[in-house]
Amino acid sequence: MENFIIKFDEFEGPLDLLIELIKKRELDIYDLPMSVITKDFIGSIELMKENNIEVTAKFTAMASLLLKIKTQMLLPSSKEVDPRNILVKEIEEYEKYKSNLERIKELQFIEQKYFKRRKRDVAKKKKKGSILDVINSYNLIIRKKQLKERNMKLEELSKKIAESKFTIDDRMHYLKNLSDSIDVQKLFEDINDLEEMVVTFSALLELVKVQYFRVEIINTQVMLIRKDL
Amino acid sequence: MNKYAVESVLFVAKEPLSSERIAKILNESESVINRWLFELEKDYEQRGIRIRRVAGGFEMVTSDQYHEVIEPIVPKEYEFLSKPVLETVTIIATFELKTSQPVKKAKIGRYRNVKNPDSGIESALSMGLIKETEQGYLTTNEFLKFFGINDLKELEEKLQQNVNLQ
Repeated sequence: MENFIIKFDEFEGPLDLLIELIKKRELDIYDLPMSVITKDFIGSIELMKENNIEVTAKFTAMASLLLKIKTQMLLPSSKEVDPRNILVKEIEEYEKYKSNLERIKELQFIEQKYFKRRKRDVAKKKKKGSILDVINSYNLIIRKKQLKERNMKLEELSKKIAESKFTIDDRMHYLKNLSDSIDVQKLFEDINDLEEMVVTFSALLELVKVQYFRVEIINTQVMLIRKDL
Repeated sequence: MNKYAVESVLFVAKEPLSSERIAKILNESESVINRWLFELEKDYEQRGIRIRRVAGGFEMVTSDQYHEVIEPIVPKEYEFLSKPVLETVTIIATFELKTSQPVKKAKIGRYRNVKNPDSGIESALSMGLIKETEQGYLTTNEFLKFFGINDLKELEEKLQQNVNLQ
């Protein structure tokens, strides 16, 4: 039995050990002599313990299963359903998994022989940086900060607008009723109040956005024309 | 438009493209694109470049016949999977093939003979080879691409081929 211990590294799990024992004795897995295989199995894990090899719970669970099947075989009911069926199924599934594992491992060796164009990206990743990249990122941050500041100012302004006597809704209504075509420059020239100008401009943008007006250049004049015209 | 438009699209694509996608790019019907793809596959059969079907799409690859010529001139990119990841994806693919159902963690643990199958599952998840569902784990398109196969049916055929023959 010693030779099983030497090769123990190969036995990752109880089924590996069991299959190896079956092979050694050249047993038929469809007609396993349970007393022989159980004795072999338990003997092997006893030797593992003696040699200070960790016997995990999975090995002892397998030993219990083997003992259980061995006992069941002695009962008269075992004539109807072979209690070894469950073990046969487990062995078969495990062997299938092991051979699939080998095959999938091999598929990697096959696949690595195919080369694709996307490998050009590798060169890009290794691109050398320069002081220009540092300046660029510095400028980017400055721009972001300026943008943030501007947004804050805009926010303040829109707060002021909200409090003002002019509302965007009113101005939108006003613009809708003003004319079917509006000369933008003339529209703003006629407004003297800065606040009114801002609100009117916002209303104008809104109406273009909702596609009430479209913008047209007619004889260098910027005109707002009603969309449905 | 003709089949060479498809050829040029495949040449620049970084990922396998489905015929549906190519049809959209070229503004042609899918049946026409499929015919062109079929013709191109034939055209390329004897070339140093092949058109093959991977993960439901089409891609250009060098012929495996010339890998020894190419290997010294391009950086090695293919990375073999670690043992835990390989075992994890094998178990998931095998049982997904058998049942078309997600595979539970307990099953992975049982076959892998490890106390805790989590790290193998985590690595496979982070590599995108598998995905998590409420009922367990399934393989992904990334998995198919990694092994250069079109679908799990093709994997099944490859698994059934004799291991020692290849």
